Amino acid sequence: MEKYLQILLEQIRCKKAHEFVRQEIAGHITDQMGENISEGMTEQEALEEAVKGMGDPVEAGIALDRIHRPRMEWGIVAVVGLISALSIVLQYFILKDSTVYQTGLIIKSIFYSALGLLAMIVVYRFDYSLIGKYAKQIAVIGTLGILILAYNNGRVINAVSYIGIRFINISIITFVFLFVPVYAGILYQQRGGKYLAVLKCIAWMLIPVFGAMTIPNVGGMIGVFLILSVLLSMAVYKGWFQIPKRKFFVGFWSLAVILPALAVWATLKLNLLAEYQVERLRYYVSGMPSEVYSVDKAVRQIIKGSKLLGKAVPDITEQVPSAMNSYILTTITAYYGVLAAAAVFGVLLYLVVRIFKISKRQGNQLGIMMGYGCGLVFLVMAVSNGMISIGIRMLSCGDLPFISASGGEKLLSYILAGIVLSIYRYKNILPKETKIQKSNRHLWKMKVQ
Amino acid sequence: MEIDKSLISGSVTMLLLKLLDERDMYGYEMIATLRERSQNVFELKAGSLYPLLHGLEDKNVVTSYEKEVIGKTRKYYSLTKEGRNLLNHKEKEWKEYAKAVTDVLALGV
Repeated sequence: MEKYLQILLEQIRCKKAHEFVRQEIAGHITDQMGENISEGMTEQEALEEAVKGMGDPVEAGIALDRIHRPRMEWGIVAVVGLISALSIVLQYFILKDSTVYQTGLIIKSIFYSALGLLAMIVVYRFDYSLIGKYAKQIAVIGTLGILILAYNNGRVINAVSYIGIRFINISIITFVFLFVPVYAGILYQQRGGKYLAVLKCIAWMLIPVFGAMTIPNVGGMIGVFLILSVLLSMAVYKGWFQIPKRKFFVGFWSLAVILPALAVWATLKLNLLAEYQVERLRYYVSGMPSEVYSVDKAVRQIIKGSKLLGKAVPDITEQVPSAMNSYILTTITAYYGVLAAAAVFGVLLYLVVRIFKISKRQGNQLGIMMGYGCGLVFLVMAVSNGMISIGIRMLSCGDLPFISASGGEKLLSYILAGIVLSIYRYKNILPKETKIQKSNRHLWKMKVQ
Repeated sequence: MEIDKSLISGSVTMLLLKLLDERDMYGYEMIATLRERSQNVFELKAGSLYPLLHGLEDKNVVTSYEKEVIGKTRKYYSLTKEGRNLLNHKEKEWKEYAKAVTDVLALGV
């Protein structure tokens, strides 16, 4: 039997696939052997007959090799390439006309895109299941590392907190969103557990949520909490935890709404908020721009004065700060028209849909969760930025993925895209269950829903 | 009677999907059931079964999960929604083909 398996596995070039193929084929031979023995053969005869019945190992191995090999999701690569090119070309032509911004900004944008593409390729080559295996270690070491960096190299530019090393500035909120794929790994590690495991998963949420709160970035905090809550709910829905699903959904989501509302009410009652914070809350609730948000007022005017296609407002960069970062969609609308901005946004949404599709079709459960996590980050960031670009400041989770000139958001986008590519790359290579812990939990098997 | 292999190979996918439509099965079980139901006409080799199953899984026609039965971990396959659609399509196609063949053969009678 060993010889048969050896010949068959030699044909499969990707070593990672060997173990689960070996298990399945060896199981088959043993079953057939048992059947042969029950028909009256000796053990030796039964084994020989069973192996003979398997057919040609080379032929089977070659056929399996064709399926179990690293894959490239060219669709995602093409969309990412298109978005990167769009981002740079649009910025180049806008900056060429601008009297306010220096053309040096385009060099910065190209630099971050190139660095991002490099990061994407590195992450793509990397086995994503390692993030699942060492999720807790990555979370703890990563958090400590970011705290140290933020303490030593923290910068605040235009009310946004950055970690700055020489000329490279990365907004801290992007690190918070980088926690999402790691969180998918933490959820995966807790699979099979009961209430305690779910509580632990909720406790792990606190790291990015408090992280965003201390930046402070309320929009980012709500955004990351929403994404992690959706992932946790998905895990419960898929039966990862041995708890009643309905009870969880009702309990968790009502608490998720009631507790923050209570907190806001209490701080208002106790007069804990500064005047501008109360003003901000009033603004969130009413949705109407006030004096505090004169930028939003300007943005709404620009949108109102824009054309369907073509340039409408002479030089928007004078009216809106960070026209290439937070307000890139507004800038595109002003310079090229509503349709151009809608097209750019549409490409981004298409990318999200494509990521969700890839994730859904994944075999590996960790891959499904991590893929959805990455897609959700893009979705939340795109929608929140899209709203800001038309003057509605409900959530502000950061700049537009891939498109904004901001270094942090660019790098985050490419790293997440790299993770999705890695998930696709290992689609037919990793087994459904990635063994993670030494405890008995990894023996817990589940039916894929 | 020995049946020409090429006759069988075209319909193996449909037969496997039909088996999985009834209940989830593991590889060995599929071969044994196929042999039994066809009164030993379909002797599918394991060496061709697994590449076929893994290919179907890649196309999201079937999905798999591991289950422990009497101390043995087995990989069970189950039909997805797409798989069920494919089976319906293949069954329809087969019935039409079989009818056409029967009709042509009947002409000579």
